[in-house]
Amino acid sequence: MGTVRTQLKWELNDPLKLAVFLFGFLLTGLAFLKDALSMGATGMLSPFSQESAVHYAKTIPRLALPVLSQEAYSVLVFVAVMLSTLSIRGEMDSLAALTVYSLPIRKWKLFLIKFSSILLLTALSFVVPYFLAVGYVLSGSPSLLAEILGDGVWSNVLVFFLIAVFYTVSVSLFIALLSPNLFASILGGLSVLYVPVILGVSSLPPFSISAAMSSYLSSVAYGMVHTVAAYGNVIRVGFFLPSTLLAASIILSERRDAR
Amino acid sequence: MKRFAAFFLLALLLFTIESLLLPRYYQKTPTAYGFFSDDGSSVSVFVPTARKVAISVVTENQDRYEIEVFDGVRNRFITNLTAVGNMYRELELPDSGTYYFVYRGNGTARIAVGTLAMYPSREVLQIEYLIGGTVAFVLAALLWVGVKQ
Repeated sequence: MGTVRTQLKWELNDPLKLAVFLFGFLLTGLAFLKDALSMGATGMLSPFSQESAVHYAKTIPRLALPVLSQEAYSVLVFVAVMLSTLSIRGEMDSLAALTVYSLPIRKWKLFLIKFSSILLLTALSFVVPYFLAVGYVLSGSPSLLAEILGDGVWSNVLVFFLIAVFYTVSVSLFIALLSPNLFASILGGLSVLYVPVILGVSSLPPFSISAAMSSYLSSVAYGMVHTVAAYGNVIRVGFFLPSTLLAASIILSERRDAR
Repeated sequence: MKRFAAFFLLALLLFTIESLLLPRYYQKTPTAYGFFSDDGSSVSVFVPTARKVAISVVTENQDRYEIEVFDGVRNRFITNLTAVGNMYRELELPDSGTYYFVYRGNGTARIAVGTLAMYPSREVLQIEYLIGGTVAFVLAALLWVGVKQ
């Protein structure tokens, strides 16, 4: 356990990776702040009554809650690709891997440590800005903020975002393991993750996740019960595919060399 | 772990500065439209920030009518606009929230609520300055300990 913890600390102590984290945090922050500032929803209530007005005033704004936007996804892709490339390929190209791999620790364990540190950094740089942006923009009305994100909405939003992070991180790690050098890893990861955005493929992230998020938010805003239906497609592509890739990467990592 | 904490705090600090600067340069001025079908019907508009809005009401009704503005989050009426015929008024919505425009009059009418300018309210700025200042202090303390060692 001691070596694992030391290794994890070492991974999180790299200034280059932390610089990428800072970059991702600030740019996703800008994207989510922009989305939060342009929230808006219009409705009708006829006849007007004060009780129902107060009730709907706090549930209908859920429709306007920002979802996974294309700008935020672009930054997420960049951060995930840079972090996995730095962690896997950058280490080999700078010959630091020669010392790391002489440590008395199994290669697949080392890979899992790298995976969890990248997942942690990417998730922090993606999820914290979202809640901070929504929180800052709506902080003038704390009761509204609590009501919008309450009732399990915040945890569902969190799950959707973590699925997006898991998908991008495992795909980019898989590509980093397969590619022959640092440059190929960056270009390959960026193109594989960004092609669905250019082509507008609706069954792959980010569009599958943002569609599922908006259908979840509208069903929750109108008080429907079957909110689980929104997860269907997301679980298939956003969870099953990356898990398979992760398993494949663990097997691949056992076979790789320090160069 | 210390470098990680320093970077995380730096990210929080710079994010807070971003959130203070962004509303100044990123102005979004949407217009919401609604329809009043009869006496007592209302249109609700959710806005994320405090803002100045222009309200225009178009009606064929020649009698005197009222538009009551109700703040749904803070549960209070803000103001009461009366007019005969078409109306154009400018109004300040004090903070983020859902505002109801309630029609009291005969016949039907159409309403447009256009944003003229958006800005953070006093409460929002207070919270942002408070969090930003606290983070800056903690970061400075952390770095100071590092410098002394």
